[in-house]
Amino acid sequence: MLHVDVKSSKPIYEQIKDQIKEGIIKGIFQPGDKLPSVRELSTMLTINPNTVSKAYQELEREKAIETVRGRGTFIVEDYRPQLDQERLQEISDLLRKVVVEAHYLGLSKQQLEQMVDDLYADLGGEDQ
Amino acid sequence: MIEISKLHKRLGNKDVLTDINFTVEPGRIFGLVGENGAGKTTLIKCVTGVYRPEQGAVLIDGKNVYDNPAVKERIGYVADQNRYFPSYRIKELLSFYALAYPRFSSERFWELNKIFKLPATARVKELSKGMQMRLTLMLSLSIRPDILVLDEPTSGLDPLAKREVINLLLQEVESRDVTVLISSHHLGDLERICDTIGIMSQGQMKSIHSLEEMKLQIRKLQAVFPQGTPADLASWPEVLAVEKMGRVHYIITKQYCADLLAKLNQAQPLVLEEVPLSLEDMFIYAAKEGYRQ
Amino acid sequence: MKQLFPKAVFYKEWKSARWGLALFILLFVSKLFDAIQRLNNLKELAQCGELVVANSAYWFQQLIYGNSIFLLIFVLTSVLAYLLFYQDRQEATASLIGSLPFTKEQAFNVKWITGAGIIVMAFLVNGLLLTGFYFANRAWMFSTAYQVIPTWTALHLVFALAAFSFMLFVQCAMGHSLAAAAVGPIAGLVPLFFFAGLNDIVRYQFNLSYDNVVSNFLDRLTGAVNWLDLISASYVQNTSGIVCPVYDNMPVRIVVFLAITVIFLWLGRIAYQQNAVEKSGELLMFPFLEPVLIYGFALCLGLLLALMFGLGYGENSVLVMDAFLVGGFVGGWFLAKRVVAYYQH
Repeated sequence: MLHVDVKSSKPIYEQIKDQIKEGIIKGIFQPGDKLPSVRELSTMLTINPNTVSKAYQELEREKAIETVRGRGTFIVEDYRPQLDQERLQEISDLLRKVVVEAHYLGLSKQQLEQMVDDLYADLGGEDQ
Repeated sequence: MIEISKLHKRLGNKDVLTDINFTVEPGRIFGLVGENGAGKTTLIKCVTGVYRPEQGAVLIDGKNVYDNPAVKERIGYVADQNRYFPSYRIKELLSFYALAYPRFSSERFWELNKIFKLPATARVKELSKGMQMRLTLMLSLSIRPDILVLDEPTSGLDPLAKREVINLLLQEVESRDVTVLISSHHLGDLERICDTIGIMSQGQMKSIHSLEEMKLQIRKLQAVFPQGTPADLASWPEVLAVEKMGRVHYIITKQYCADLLAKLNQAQPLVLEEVPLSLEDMFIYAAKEGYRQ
Repeated sequence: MKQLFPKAVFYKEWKSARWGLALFILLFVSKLFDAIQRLNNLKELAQCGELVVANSAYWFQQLIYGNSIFLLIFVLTSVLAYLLFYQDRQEATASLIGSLPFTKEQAFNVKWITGAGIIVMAFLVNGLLLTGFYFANRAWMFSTAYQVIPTWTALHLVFALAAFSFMLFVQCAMGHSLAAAAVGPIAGLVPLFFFAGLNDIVRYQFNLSYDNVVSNFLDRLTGAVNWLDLISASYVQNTSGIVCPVYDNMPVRIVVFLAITVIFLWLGRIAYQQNAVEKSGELLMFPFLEPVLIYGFALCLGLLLALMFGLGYGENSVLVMDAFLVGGFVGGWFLAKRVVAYYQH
């Protein structure tokens, strides 16, 4: 379920972070699910354990996961994704591209909104 | 912790290492990349106390390595050639290691050998080169080292074996906080696992970079400025290099941040977006432009 | 104890050198076999009633003291030093040995102690076998006193230790263990013949008499460096007119060999401490020895050729002798230079 792309200019720890957060939103990871240990994940992906630790630390700080001493690392019960200003800018840029493209194709605003609604329905229907 | 400062080494009448400086913090993995003859093996032999440095210091936890058994017994060393006492049987090597290294554990060896399954009665010279490397790796892990030094351990291994070897290393780092110095002539073998990569060429350390840091800071943006390019763009403190292709400017950043984007947006670009930059390219730009972290 | 003598190093050295012990014992018992053979001869003579006890009164002493085995000891100690060094001088193994948690001092100590221990054991075994033989055949020993065995054993033991220390030193100074094993015994013998040869050549070249100042000086120099005297028995005629070999001045002999042992032990230790792993496999460990080897070899080859082919062509062959002298020197110089260059990395 997790994979890293070393060729990507995105740091590996960020790739792991984003994939886990994405997994939570998509419902691949359910609240209370146990995540692989640092050792397991580093072996699974053949990456430096320090990198995995860093990703887990940041996820913990963002309250996406919690570590129970002696039992392991788990997805928290009520994860609320935080809005990251930089990511927000990225999304707004991406959205601009899509809107411009859609406009050229002759799509109406309603049609576009319908598509967005459908996508949300696929994600689990929740009103994020 | 490994600390190397102002290290020089001559072999014969050739300067093989010139002014090498770097530090590997405890529990970190330092990757040494360079072509054959760049000086990687010589550097490694200085770190493991095989060679006496001509000038400069090689310190492990603050102590000189050369001719110092108290430090050497904490170093596991997997060399590029591991024909160690070719006529010894594996069990004889185990007896030897048990006498030589106070922290050696033969249980650990046999536990590790469940992966590689080397026969105890085989002689070292009967093993293939890859098997000899694995044997040395297992022995080096069985001494419970604080420092692990590996000279091109992945060269000549198939992808599956490569992965086994690397995973063994990663587990050791995870469970015992071992400090690792590992070399390869192939960046691809190391980019997944290293905290820091040092690039060597002709006996010099051309660059030392933390990979994660580098990926955050060094990025490639493409931009078109219909209303004129900011005049001093190339000399901005955040910019490493600017290349122009037609109307498109490719900006390589050395300090990617919101401020930089804001400054660029002031020039009202028609397009301003990030394009992928490979690790190799990052290193090339970093080396060419004298980038320092 | 761990500081001086790490067990792991001993494990390794013993594994490499133990064949040396077998070799030593095997070759040393030659004295015993000789003795058994001679005894059988005597017994046969006695059976035929032809044995003259007076003529054979010192047969055992002659057998033990005669037939010098110095060359054998030279070769064997050189082999022993080679066995202790050949792994250290193979590049891949040398690197791994260099990474082991031992000091150079410890490594050298263990090498010497292992080798010296093997020599002591070999002499002990040999001495015990001879002792057994002596007492088992006490009736046939006639006038030979038992002291002959401990005396011979003690003297040859210290000689072997001195020779071994010298061979070990040569190994420490050279990077190529096989070459060092060949150079060692030769270098040990060079002083023996060098001054003697030089004396002949100088005398012939300048047409000097034997009673000349230079000649006398060279004679005395030859005598001084002739250590062979130190392990040869001198022959004395006893009261009943029988010539019998004896070792006189035993304390001096033993002290000299012990002194040689200590000197080369000390030199070898200094040399080994300065050994650099990267020079393993090269001919010499130290560049400053290069001219010594090259000119030494050239000089010796020149002398040897001049002595072998230059002398004995009659009165007016000084020119021929000089030609061989110079030719040998130049040839030796080129040859040694090529060999050194070949082994240098």
